[in-house]
Amino acid sequence: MKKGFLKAITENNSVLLVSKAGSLQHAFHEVLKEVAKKPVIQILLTRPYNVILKELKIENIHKNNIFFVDCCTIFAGEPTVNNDNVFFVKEPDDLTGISIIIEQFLSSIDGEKYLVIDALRLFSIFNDEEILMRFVSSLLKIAAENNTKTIVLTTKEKHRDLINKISPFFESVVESETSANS
Amino acid sequence: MPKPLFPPNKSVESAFIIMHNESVIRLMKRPAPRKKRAKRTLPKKTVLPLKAAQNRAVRLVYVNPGDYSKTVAGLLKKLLKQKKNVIYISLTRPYASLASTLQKEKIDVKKLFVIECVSGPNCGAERGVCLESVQNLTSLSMAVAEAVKSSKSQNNFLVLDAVTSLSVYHDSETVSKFLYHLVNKIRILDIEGFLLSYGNDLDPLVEEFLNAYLESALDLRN
Repeated sequence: MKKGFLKAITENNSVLLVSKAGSLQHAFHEVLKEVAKKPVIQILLTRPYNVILKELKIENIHKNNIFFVDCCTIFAGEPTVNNDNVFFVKEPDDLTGISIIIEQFLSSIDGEKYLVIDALRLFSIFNDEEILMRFVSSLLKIAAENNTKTIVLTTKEKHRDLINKISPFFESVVESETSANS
Repeated sequence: MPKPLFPPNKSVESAFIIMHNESVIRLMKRPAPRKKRAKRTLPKKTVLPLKAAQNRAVRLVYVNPGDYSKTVAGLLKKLLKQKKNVIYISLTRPYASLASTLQKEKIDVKKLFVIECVSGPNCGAERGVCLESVQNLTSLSMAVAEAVKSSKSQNNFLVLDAVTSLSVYHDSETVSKFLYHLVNKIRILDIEGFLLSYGNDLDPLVEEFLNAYLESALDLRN
């Protein structure tokens, strides 16, 4: 039987997946395993592209269907290797650039697709919450227009301010039961 | 009008050109199994997380301020026994004080590459660099990159002592952004790391951000 959040992904067009700190990486792998059979655009905030490639290989997840938007590598001051599977964003505050690349990707491919954001919480270090909310709302609109399911991962917060503000945008909000050791 | 990055209405196969870059797709190197079990010098609580940290993780480590020096020395001893090339960023204590503490614990300070940011350009580090102050985060970032790139070891391990000290000199947003930059750099350079924090006074915003970003934290407080 599918875990709760994987069932939610199957049944809903937009899912906010709230994971425990330390379990986010595991939840992220589980999500990718589920969705990578179809075209996926993956926004990377927690790990740079070259690190993700290694993880996917270890987790036996095929990367062929995944297009990555890497928000980490240039910000870390490291050189980027251009590749048709990845787009390097200068900084995570370039929400306009990220939106444009997502829209271009989604409109260029027919059929059902997925948009996955690995850690929404990290966007809030670089952007005001109001701007971030508008960004999420805009992404969900673009996704809906392009036959795309959206999965946004975030970590549990002490005060849940951001989660409470963005939850109404999603069809389903799931608290992941995944633990780091499972 | 700019040319679209993706050809319109094409199948997935034609939209992607998959390139194999051998230099970036390397399997994680696992350390060889130890022939002889090392004598346990630290409490069990400290030893276990170090074993768990063998998968190139970057972790936040909470340390009790009461026995901070001793616990940090214990961590360093363990890492050196594991043949790690330890790059130690000292934002808390001057090199002389650090060397003295480590000497008491029978640790050869010359085995560490020390980036000292407390006592200015003449800090006396025999193996390492002396930075002007904690305030210049760009220099610190460059020093870390240089230290890793000039190292011949494949077993580099970065210890940041301590996140709490960064918050004394910078606001929480700057600290969060710097740590985001540093941790990404650590991951790209394929090294492990401990970000130390003492006491219970870590800035809540920084703590929440690190919890969202890093592998599980290790709590060595009593």
